[in-house]
Amino acid sequence: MLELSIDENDVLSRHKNIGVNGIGNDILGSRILIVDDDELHSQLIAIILTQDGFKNLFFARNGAEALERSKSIIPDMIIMDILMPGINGLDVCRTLRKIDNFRNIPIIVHTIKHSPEERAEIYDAGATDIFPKPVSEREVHNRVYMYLKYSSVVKGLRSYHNRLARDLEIARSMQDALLPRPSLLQGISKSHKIEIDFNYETSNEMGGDFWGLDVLNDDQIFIYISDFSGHGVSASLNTFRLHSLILNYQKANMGSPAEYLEKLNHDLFKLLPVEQYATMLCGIIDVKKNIFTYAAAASTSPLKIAVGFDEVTSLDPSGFPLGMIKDATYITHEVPFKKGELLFLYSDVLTESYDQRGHMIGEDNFIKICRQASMSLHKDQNFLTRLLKFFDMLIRRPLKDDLTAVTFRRF
Amino acid sequence: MEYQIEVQENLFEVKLSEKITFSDLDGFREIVRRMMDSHSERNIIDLSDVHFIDSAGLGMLLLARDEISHTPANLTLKSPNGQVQRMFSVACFDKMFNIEKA
Repeated sequence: MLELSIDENDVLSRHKNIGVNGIGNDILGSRILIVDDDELHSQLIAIILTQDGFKNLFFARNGAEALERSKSIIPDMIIMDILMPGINGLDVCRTLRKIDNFRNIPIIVHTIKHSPEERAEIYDAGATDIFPKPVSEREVHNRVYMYLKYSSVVKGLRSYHNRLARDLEIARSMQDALLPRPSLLQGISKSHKIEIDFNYETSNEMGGDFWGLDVLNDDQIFIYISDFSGHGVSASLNTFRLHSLILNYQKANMGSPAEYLEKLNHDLFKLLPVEQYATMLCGIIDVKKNIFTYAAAASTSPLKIAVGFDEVTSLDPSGFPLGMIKDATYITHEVPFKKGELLFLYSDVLTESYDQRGHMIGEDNFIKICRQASMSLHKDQNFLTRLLKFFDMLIRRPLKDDLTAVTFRRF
Repeated sequence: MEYQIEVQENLFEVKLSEKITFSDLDGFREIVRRMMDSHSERNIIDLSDVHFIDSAGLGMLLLARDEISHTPANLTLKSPNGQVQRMFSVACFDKMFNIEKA
């Protein structure tokens, strides 16, 4: 045995320059099951593979034995004859492909059949490739190596994919944990007479959505909603950055909402790469003065809704996104917010999703939907539940981004 | 996103169309690379045929702005309209970019 580092170029060179005897050590431990009723044939293949350095060869003399041995040894590859007494090679293929363990392993059949129809039938049964008979040493060399290498790469990718999926699942639950606890929301319902409902739904990928609140004093609560540009892992990591910044700010001297955004912008600007930024809205609900004071950094338009009526006011969300320019300044807006009214904050997936006909919902339509949800609301019905029901009837899933929707209803 | 690039003496103009979203990042990076390679004094991104831009798309425009800012060249965003125009106004892009209205 010569050398032994193998790469794809090596496979190519082996195709052109057959007879070079070099196969990767990782491959040589593969378990190969050789199935043939003709012992001479089995031995011929075994000799070629043994010369190449393969050590784990197993044999079966008919279809029934092939199935039985496959289940006990779980081979990495099967080389099989088609015509055998009892269960033939095609039936073995079909049976194995239905079993999870064998769905993806290379099965190479050797046969004298060579009409296009016959070959098609063999592939349909689940064979990976066909060796023509009589078996040539070069053919065995090349194909066995190629398919084993390929399946080891696929195996590696599959395990990588599984690990990544597990990691994302953990990250997702960490992101969930950033959201306010139900006990806090129940407390605010009692102390400030504000009923808070929210819906947080993650998409297939990680998203950059995030919302939170804090009790400032007996009359005021501070609320915010934020969404990082793009999605995926980077957006999700950024939510943790933002969360830790927010935690570090002293709520005693947070200043006005505009000043709060200015401070956040200043800090995020230093942390974020050029093309990443966050949109945000933060504000203070004051139940004594009946006002909502807020500042926005290119968020979605907050909606103020007189529940049960068709009154929906869209508030101005414009402002520099956070982290985009160094010394951005923001404006504090003040709007009346009385008992019976509801404030609705949401992520852009609600306006940017597509309806069944393939049209984007858009902000204007979204406001119409909110109006309908509000008007058709019976006593004791929840606005958010109703709105999301409307939304679900309208859109095509899966969602392309996280969905966050929060309502603050004064009662 | 589809795009068409036209380079004249000292002018690099790219006309984008359809949507600019998260999945166009690679294509957009290529455009910015070619823009920088052309060393044109004037650079125009024509948005008249773009009907949708998402947050990642705005991020890409910032990327172009940042690259250009390291050179003496300038960048103009041309004819944003509809949803793109709305996104620009919400994100105060008119204060960050040179925008040529339709």
